[in-house]
Amino acid sequence: MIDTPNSPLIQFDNVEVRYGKIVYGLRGVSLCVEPGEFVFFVGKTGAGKSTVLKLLTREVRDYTGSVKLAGKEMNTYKDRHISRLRRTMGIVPQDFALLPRKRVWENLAYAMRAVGHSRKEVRNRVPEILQQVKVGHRADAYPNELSGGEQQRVAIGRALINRPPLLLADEPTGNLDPEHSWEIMELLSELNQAGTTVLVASHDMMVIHRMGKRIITLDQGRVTNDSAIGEAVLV
Amino acid sequence: MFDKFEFLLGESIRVFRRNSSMSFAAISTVAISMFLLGGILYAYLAISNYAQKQFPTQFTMEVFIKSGTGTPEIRRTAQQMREIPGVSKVVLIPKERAYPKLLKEMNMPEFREEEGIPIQDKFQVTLSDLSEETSAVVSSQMQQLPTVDSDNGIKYLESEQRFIDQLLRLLRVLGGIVGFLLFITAGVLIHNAIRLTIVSRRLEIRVMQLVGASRFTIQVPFLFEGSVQGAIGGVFSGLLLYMTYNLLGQAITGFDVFGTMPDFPVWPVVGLMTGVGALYGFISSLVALSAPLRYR
Repeated sequence: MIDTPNSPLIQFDNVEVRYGKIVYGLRGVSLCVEPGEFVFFVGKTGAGKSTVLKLLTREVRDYTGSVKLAGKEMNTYKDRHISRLRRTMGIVPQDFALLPRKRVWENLAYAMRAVGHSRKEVRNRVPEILQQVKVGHRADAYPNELSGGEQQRVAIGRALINRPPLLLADEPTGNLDPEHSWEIMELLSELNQAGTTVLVASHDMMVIHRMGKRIITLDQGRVTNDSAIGEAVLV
Repeated sequence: MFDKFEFLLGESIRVFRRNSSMSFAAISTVAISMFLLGGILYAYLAISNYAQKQFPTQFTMEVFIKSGTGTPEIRRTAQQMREIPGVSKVVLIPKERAYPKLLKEMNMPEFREEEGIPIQDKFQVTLSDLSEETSAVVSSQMQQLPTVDSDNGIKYLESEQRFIDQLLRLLRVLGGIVGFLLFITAGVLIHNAIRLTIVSRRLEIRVMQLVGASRFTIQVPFLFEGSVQGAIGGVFSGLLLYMTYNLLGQAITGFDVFGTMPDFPVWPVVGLMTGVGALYGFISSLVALSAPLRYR
């Protein structure tokens, strides 16, 4: 589904999202993300960071303007196509969303089985993913036996089960201390270096600046700064 | 394929076990409502069967024609009868056809009367309803027809027929109301049980939606739960019906209403009840799933 030679992977053009009649999620947002980029969306609570990601996952469906993923307008995806769309991206939620009664490896196995992978594929791939996100040694632990950073690694591991070319992380370090936050960002950076496009919504400015990646700043639903183009986009 | 099936089955069983008390409520209500519906339907059929065997057909009168009436007059009489309000059908039963049948019923198939056939031609008249007014009016109007035998020319079991008819109507109404209410209650309980299970499994559902599991994969376990609840309720209702049938058979020996019916077909009834219950459970859970499992 995501194959975009010579065109941006993500393209927003004058996008407006409203929650109710007077609350804006986004106001006239235009931006492009090329394949293989690592982009931070930053801003205060309610600035519109999560809305950008939710437009891409189709959690937010109503918008005006144009939102294209791999050249395809998002509102052409019907309800029945959303599951297929989601399999082309990895989603990392802020709250980890791990199943508390399942061990680490079972959390990944469950997700893989749910999208139709066979037992054999699960047996081969789960250890590989756990190694990749560096929690292989905790495979038999339950989520409540893990640190916050480890839980987030498992959540990232789960997002990798479909080998997605695009990874969306909404406040992945929101519940973590600075040390664990940095570990998670390093992990995301490694995935990016392996070719995955990574979009992260965050307000953890200390870590973000240390990463040295592209930063798009949002305020009250508007893009106020894009480090790729500089201050020129300031409204 | 087998892997997928195994996963869905495992999930379905997990869903079913997660919410056992609500499942019990749903199953027992399905069982009771289907038992009452099935029981009333069976009693209706039994009484209806009994009435047909014991009395002239429920809504019929027998109208005897005077001996020696010619065919054209008989035809005209039939036409006149059809025009009477409250009459839905008129069938001529010639004595040549009725007599051998009568002899057979009397266990004398070889008997031959030397002076010809000693019974009259008759009409079997079916009424559109059996209210006291209709049958009395129809009866008196027929009695006035010149070809109808003036001496006991019309035969029908007024009070017995009316009693049976009223009993059947009562069963229909009672069964309809009680069964409908209970059936709706069972549906609501299955619906609620599914909704509660969805709440208790919201994290699993969220994980499945995050990684892009198909709607089918997410919904199947819940549809399975509803269908199984309905099916188990159906099995119990079938067995309850069978037990009740046997108990009634032993208790009511004098008035053999159930004896007129064929033996209770226990397995077909249980199978039918199971199928109906499963279908109803499936539909109830499908309704329960429509909104909460929408991809978010």
